[in-house]
Amino acid sequence: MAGHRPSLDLVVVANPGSRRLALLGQAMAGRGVPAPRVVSYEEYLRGGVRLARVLREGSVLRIESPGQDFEVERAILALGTEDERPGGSSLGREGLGRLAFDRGRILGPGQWYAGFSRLLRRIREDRTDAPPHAVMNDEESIAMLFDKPRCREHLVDGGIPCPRALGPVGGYDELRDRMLDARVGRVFVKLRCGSSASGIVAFESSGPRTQAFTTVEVVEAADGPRLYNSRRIRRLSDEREIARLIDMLAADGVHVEQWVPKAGLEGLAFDVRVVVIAGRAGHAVVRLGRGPMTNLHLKSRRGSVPTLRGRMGEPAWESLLETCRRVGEAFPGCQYLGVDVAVLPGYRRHVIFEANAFGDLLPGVLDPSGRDTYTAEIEALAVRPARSRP
Amino acid sequence: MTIGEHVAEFEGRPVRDYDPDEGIADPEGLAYRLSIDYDAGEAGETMTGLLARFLEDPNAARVQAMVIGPWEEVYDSGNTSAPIVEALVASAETLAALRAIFLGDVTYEESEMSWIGQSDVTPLFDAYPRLESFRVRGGTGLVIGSLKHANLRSLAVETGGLDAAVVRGILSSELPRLEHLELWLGSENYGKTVTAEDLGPILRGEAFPTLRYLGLRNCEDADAIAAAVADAPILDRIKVLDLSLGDLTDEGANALMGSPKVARLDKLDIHHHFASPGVTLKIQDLGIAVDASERHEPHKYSDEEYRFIAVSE
Repeated sequence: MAGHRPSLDLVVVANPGSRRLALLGQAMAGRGVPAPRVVSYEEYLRGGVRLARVLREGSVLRIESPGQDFEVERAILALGTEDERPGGSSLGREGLGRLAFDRGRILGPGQWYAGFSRLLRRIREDRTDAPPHAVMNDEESIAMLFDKPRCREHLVDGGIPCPRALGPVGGYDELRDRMLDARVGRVFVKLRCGSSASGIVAFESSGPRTQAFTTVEVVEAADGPRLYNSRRIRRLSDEREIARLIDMLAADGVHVEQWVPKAGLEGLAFDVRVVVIAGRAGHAVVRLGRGPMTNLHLKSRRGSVPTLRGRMGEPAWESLLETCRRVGEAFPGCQYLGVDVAVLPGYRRHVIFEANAFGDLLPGVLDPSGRDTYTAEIEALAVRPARSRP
Repeated sequence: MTIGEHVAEFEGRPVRDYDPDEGIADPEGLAYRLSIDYDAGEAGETMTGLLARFLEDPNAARVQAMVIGPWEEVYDSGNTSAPIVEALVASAETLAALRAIFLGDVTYEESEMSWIGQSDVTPLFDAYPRLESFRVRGGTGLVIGSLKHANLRSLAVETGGLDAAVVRGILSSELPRLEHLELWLGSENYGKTVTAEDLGPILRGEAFPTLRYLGLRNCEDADAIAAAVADAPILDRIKVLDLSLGDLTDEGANALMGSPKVARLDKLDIHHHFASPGVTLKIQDLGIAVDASERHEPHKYSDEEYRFIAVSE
C-alpha cells in the first residue's frame, strides 16, 4: 500500500483516555490511517451528541467497552431503572445520584445490563437516519454476547462445544438440587450479565462437603451487605457463607455451568484466549492460573503458545482454532471477538466457555503477520469492509 | 492446589495415555496412564471398565509401569479408589511384569487433592510382591497398613493433609530395600494429624536401613520439621533431604545450615519456601547441591502474615 494513504473514517463510541482507545489510535497511526473520531459515552449518554450527525457516508462505527468509567457506569445504571425487572438489586435515581465511586463494587448487574441494552438500542435507532455506513460489532451481537446463557445457547445451537449448563437458579438450595439432579459435583456460578471475570464462584460439593473459590467478597455496610470483586481468590468452606454469597449473586441473575477440568501447562491450569478478526483466528494467548479462574487477568500469567501447540499437536490445535472461527461465524455481526477456550486434560478436546464482544484487548500479542489485534482489525476493514448497515 | 499438570514421566519412562484403539504398543518403554476424562465420564465410562480392556491386550503382561489418572467423578470423594485397587489386586497374575504404580495422577482442576477419595491400598503390596515403586496422591480415606515387602524401593504419599495413622502404618513396615520415602505432610486444614513426634522412628534411623532419599514435603510448620530433622541420625544414612513445597522460613533454614550432618548430604531441596533473600543466598553456599528456588513472600492481610504450602489455598 506504499504511497497510498488509506482513507478510513472510524467513529468510536468509547471512554476518552481509555487504554483501549490509546492502543487503537496507535495502531491506526501505525497504518497511516487518520485518527478515529471519538464519541464519548459520557456525552452520548447525556444526549449531547447524535450519531446520525456524526456518521458520514462510508464511516465505520466501532462501539467500545464502556467500562472503567464510574460516571458512565452510573449513567448506564440510571438507564436501567427504566426497565421493569423482577428481583435483583436495584438502585433508584436518587440513590444513584448519591453513589460514590467504590472500587470493585458489583453494582446491580441486572440493572446495568438493562441499561446497557437500552443504550445499545438507542445507538441502533440513532443511526438509522445516518448516511450509509458500516459497523464493526453491531448492537444486537454485543447485547447477546453480554448475556451468558443466551450466548451459550446460541453457540450450542451452532454445534460449538460448550460446558453443560444447569439453567438459572434462584438461590443456593436450588443450585444444590439442580446439581444433584444433573449429577454434577462441580460448577461455575457466574453473573448472568457480568463481564467475564466479575462475580464468579467455582463451587464444588461431595456429600456433606462443600467448597467454593471466588474473587467476590461480601462486605457489610449500613444499608446491607455489598458485593465486591477483589484481586484475591478466596476459598470458602463454610456452607452458610457459600450459601449467602450464592443467594446474593442469584438475586441478580446467575448462569450455572459445569466446571470442566482444564489441562495444565508449566504445572498450572490454563485457558486460551483467541481473538477472531474477520474470520481469522490469528491472535492467541495462553493464560496460566493457580486457581480455577484462569480467565482472571489479575493474577494469571502467560504461558507459551508454541509449547502448548507442541503439547496438543497440530491437528488438535488447528481444531481449536477452527472452533474459534466458527464462534466468529456464529456472530456475523461482529468483525472481532474474544473467545475463551478450555483445553481438557489430555489436550485433545476443548470447550468454549466465554465469548466476549470487547475481547480484543491483548496488548503485545501479535498474529503470524506480526500485527497486534487493532492493526489486524484496521487492515481487515480495508480488505473487507465491516458489515454495512442493513 | 498447585498440581495443574499430569506427570509426563514416571519411573524413568515417558507416560502415554492408554487408548484402547491403539493398544499397548511399547509395554517396556512407556508408562501407561489410564484415565476417565471429562468426555468419557459424561459418557458413563468407568476406570474398572477401562482397566478390563487394558488387561485384554496381549501386551498387558509385559507392562512395567502404570499410572492411574482420574477416575469417573474423581472430585466426588465418595467415589473412592477401592474398586480400582480391588481390580488391580485381582489382575496381578495378568500384570505379571508390573513394577511401578502411580495411583491418582489427578490435577487440582480434576479434583483438589484432599477431595480425591483414596482407600486401603495395603492389598496391592501383597498382590504385587515384585513391586518396586508405589506413588499415591490424596490422603482422604487412604490406609496403608503394616507392609512386609521385599522389593519396594520407592514409596511416595502425596497429600494435602497426612493422617498420623498412615505414617504409623508405614513406619511399622518391613521394607528392607526402601531407598526413597516421600511423605507430603500437608496442612491441618486438609486433615493433617501427623506431628514431628510421629516421625521419630524415621528420624532416629530405626526404620529403613537402605534409605537414600527422605522427603518431608508440602509441610505446614516446616520449620519444626527442619529443626527435628537437622541433627537427626537418619541424615548419616541418606544422601538427599527434601523439605520442598512447604512454608520454611529463616528459622528452619538456619537450623539446617547449622547442622554438620546437612553439610555432608549430597543434596538439600527446599524449593517453594519463605526464607529471606539473604538466608536464601547463604543456604545455597552450603557446599552441597541446594535447590532453594521458588522463594515466596508471605501474604499480608490485616497485619497477619500467611505462608502457603504448595498444596493448599
